Parts: sequence; structure tokens; C-alpha cells
Amino acid sequence: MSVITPQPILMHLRDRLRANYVDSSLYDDGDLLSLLSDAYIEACERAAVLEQLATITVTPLTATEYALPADHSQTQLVYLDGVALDQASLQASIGPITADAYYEYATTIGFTLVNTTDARTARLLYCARPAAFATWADDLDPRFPIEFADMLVHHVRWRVQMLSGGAERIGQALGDRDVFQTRVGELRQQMVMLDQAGSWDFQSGREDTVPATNDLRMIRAR
Amino acid sequence: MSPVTGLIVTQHELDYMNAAQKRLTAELRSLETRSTITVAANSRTAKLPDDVVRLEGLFYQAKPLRRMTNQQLLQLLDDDGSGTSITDLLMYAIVGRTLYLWPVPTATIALTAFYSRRAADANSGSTFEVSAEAERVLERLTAAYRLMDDGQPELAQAELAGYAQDVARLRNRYTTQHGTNESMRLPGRRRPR
Repeated sequence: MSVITPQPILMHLRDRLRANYVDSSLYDDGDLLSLLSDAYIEACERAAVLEQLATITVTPLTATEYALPADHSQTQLVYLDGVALDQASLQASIGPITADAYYEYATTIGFTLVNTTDARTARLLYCARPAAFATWADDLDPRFPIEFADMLVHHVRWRVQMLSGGAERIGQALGDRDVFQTRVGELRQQMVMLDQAGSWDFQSGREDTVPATNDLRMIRAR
Repeated sequence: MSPVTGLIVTQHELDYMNAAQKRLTAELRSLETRSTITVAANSRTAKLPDDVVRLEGLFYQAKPLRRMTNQQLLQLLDDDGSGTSITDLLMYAIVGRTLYLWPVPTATIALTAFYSRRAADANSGSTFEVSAEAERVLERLTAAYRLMDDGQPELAQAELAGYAQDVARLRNRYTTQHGTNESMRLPGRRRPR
């Protein structure tokens, strides 16, 4: 008997959907790949899975507004030369500058800086939006845990069944929507736990936390 | 560990089993491994292996590195830590799949990482990476997926609920068997003072 090897994850998801729920006479492979892309993008954005760091050199004399990264979905943290910035309202962005802050609109990030003309370095921690799938051989982003790929199946079923209509179908669709939302919650919880983990000394068992945020500069000065 | 051969005769069955095994091993965190992560001189970053589910411990010459929050990392990104002894104070943060170190090592260093990993892809000639009772739980999850795709969502949900209970029980047993160190691997837990 010849050895069977696993096929790419998207092909497995396609086979699952084709089994009973997504008829090829209604949705061809291109449609299905597009539906899976939508599911993947929504899952990544809602669970804030694809963390990314970007650096922006702020030159106040030249410009106060800069383009956000092309894959930007949601800003998590903005620091300027190691100091956290609060988000200012758009109204504050065009009024008198009272504090260092940042603001966002559309695909732009702007900075309101008090008494600064020197170039500064801004660090942006954000959640990225993944690119849509182009082929069935595409992989998921390594930051998206593959064990959560089943949630994409439920998202596609939810949409397809809602579109087909009928009480029974819509009832099933709501069930799939609930599973998708539960899995999003589980994925988000896993990401939060990973961010907060690691304050234990692994081997000796004593608590060994990094000092509180404000103390880091004292460590540096030590 | 049972051989997959004989149990898996179609592509569909193999793919179900692989999906289920990855999910089970990630939720159980029972597959632990040790790996060396090399960080080049004057570089503050290194890539984590793709199969990492959770980094359980990171060491430099038997000294544990301490985890920073993302806020702490952003405070220190513009500071290479020059003048700070690397053996006294080495900290790390993880953004996505990238490991950030502080201070920046001035020479190439090798870090020892202990981590939980998800199961690798198996083919029909492989053996399962889980054994004993976990193997039965794996079969249960595979069955739940198949029921779901077969238009039996209620039965599938019942199987999934049973699977979740089985995972919690196995996880609890695994924690007990591994003693004190295991408690450190559970996120959010603090040992009482």
C-alpha cells in the first residue's frame, strides 16, 4: 500500500466544506477560496493574532503625519523614544498641542509633539491583517496557530447557509456562527495568556518577575 | 503509540487525524522539547521555531531569562543595554514569532529553549505522537470533526463537549505527574507566598 501524505491545510478545509455544505454547483473553487480568505482575515483581526512591530522616524519639522503600515489592522501600543503615547482625539490633533500624543484616521498616524523639532523614533505595535489566499497551496501565517484552522470551516458554513435561507438552514448557520465566535474567544484568550506568561523562574520555582514598568530605567541606570 | 498504518486508508482520514492531533497536542501541551536558539552578535532578535505552542523556559548558560511585557519591550527598544552585564540581566519578549532580547548581545550566544510543541504532520506510515488514553481522545476529536462534516452538528457538539472534558482531565493528570515545575507552565497561576 502506498503511503498517503497530508495535503495542505486549505485543501483539507476545502474537502471538509465540500462534503455536505458547500455545493460546487453554487460555489466554485474560486468562490470558496474567497470565502475562506474572508474567514481567515476576520479571525485574525478579531483575535488580534498577527502582532507586528514597526518603526516610524518622526521629523516634526518636515511632517507630523505618516502612512500606517499597509497591513495595519489595529494599533495596540505607540511609544516615542521609549515613552508611551496616549491616543489623542482628532479634535485635539488640530487644536493647540498640550501633550505628546498620537492620533489616527483612515490609513494615517499623526503625532502632536510639544516643543520638539528633533527627529524622534516612534515604535508601533499593531495587529496585522493577513493577505487573502491566492492558491490552495498557501500556508497559514505561522503566527496563526494551525490548531484553530477548524474555525474557518464554521465561518464559511455560517455564511453559505445564511445565503441559502430556510429555517432549518438558518438554524444550523447560527450554530456554526456560535462555534466560530467561541473559537475566536479561545484564540484571543490564548494570545492574552501568552503575552502575560513567563513571570516564573522556570527551574527554581521562585517568582522572578521583571520589575514594574517604571523601574526599567532604574535598572538601565544601575 | 499505535501505528497509523491500517487505521488510515484515505486522504480524508489522514487529514482529519492530523488536524485533530495538532489541536490535541496544543491543548494538552504534552509534547515538550528542547532546542537551541542562536542569536547573532549585535542582533536583538531571533525567530522562534514554527511548532512552538508555548515557550516554557529560556536559558542562557543555565541562567533563566526573564520575560518582559510588550510595554517593557517598547521602552527598551532604543536602548541596546551597552554597559549592562549580559550574564546579570538578560530579558526577552515575544512579538508574533520573533524573540526580542535585552540587552543586545555583543557576541553570538546560544540560548536553550524548552517549549511545548504541536504534533508534526504524520503520513499514513507514521505512528501517533500521543499514546494510551490520549490516543482515544484523539479518535474522539476526529470523530467529532467527521460528524460535523456529515451534517450531524448536534452529535458533533456532544462529542466535542466530551472531548473538552477528556482534555481537562488529561491535562490535570499531566500537571499532577509533573509536579512543581508544571505549575509554572500554567499561564496566570501564581504560587502562594
